[in-house]
Amino acid sequence: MDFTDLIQLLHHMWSGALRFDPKIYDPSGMDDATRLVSALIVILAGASVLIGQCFALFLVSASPIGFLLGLLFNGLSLAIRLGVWMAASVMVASLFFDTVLPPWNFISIIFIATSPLVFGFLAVLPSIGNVILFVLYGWTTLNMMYGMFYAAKVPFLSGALCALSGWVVMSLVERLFFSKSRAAHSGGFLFASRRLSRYSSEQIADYVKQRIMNR
Amino acid sequence: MSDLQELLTGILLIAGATLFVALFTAPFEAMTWWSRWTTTDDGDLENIQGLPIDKLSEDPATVNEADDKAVVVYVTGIGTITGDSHPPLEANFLNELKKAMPYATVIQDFFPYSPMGIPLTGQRIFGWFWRYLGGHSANVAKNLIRLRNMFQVLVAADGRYGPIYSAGTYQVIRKKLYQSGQTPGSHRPVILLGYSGGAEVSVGAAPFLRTAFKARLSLFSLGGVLSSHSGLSALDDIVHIQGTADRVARIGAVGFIHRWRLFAKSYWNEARREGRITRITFPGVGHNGPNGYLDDDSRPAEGQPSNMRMTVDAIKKMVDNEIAESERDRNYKSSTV
Repeated sequence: MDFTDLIQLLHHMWSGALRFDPKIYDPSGMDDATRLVSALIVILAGASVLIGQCFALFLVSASPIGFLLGLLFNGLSLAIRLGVWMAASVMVASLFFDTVLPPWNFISIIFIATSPLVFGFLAVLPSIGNVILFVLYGWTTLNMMYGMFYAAKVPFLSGALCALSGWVVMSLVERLFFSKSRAAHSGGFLFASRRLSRYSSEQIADYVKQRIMNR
Repeated sequence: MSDLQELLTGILLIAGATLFVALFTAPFEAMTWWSRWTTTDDGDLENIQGLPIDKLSEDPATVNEADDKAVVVYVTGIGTITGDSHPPLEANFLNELKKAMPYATVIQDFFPYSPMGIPLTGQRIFGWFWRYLGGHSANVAKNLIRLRNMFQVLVAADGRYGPIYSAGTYQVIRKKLYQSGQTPGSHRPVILLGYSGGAEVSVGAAPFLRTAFKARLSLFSLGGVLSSHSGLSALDDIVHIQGTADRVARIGAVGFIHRWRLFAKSYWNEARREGRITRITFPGVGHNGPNGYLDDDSRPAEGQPSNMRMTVDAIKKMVDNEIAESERDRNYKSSTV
């Protein structure tokens, strides 16, 4: 597959996911190329969401390299978190429902479902940006549910239970490794992309005020 | 589609795209300003001249607080291009205000729609464009300036960019206050007189000013477009004047949804419940221009004072009240020490 084919496939899968095209989510139609493209979609989505929340990178005065690394890191981190979530969900399914499934297809479905977040950069818009981001998250959640429960035909109740358990596992893993790491408190681009970008307006105001006043 | 329709569609598309780009790039002035601040070895922020942010290079002016009892910071509306030169109605209003309150300092040379206080005609990439527009009295030129400044109001009202933007405007206001003799130990009350979008910019700077100066801090919102900003909690008193014909202030009240009573715990509704917001309605008065708050030729009804006179009187009443409150606070503090 050359670069042009890759871009065409990326566009086909991304636009299909936005239109809730069931063929895009069909696990039987997935191969290595579609899995690769699904990973590209989630990395793009993560980077775009951070562009939308780039105030955090500016707040820590990230260098141009730090800025780019922050975007890349956010894309990769979104991919890893979603991957851990799905792997944990599949593991829960095998433990409690005796259903042994390869996690790759589910991971790809969830990756593709993040397609609306490619518009995450629109969150930059002042005052209405946050509203746009909420809409995009809603759209993504619908995509995930559609892909899982309709296209991949996962039973709703057991699927939701597994997804919930997987989410808890993912949150624990994240807390265990990221929150305790030095990078999370360093004031660098990692801190900006994973913590500062999620601050409430009051926390941001306190952060700015502290930096201005704390002498 | 006819040629005319194609042309109109093209114009609309270009206008829409330009508007989108302008709105999209609006927060970047504040963000790039912030990111250019460098950090000292102690982790403090420095400004571009290498001065720590809260150290000013000059000494404050000396004032006799018995004669100079209050400071009014005029934060002009979105129609401004420089901040220090005002259109005739505004200039006349400011002159009358100073005549009515000779015991107060009025700071009026502040451009609030830039976190650095740089006027549109100053050192900017598109400075030439704004200078060109500033030289024209056509409505298109005026509306483009208003639109640009309105986007900055949206930036100031945004919970993410607002604190950064306000840190900048605080810095400019603080310098002007310092030059007027206001120091952290001063007892003179500071009244932010925010006109239109200037009210939102004033509220943003309030928490910083509250920390830097211990004096009373209040807002006089003149047809202010105000969000439910956390800065409201840093103000001792808020007087909001709104004309019944002022659509701009009304749109602001509807657009910033956290001002709706539905959001009972919002900063605006909290301030309202605590009785810190006083609303004054001017019947038949509009937002700006003829029949606006600053028009000396229009009056709500025959035999009544002009719109501008009513505005000046309302401001004077508030400033007098603030001076009295400040003296009361001072007496109370000295009696308890």
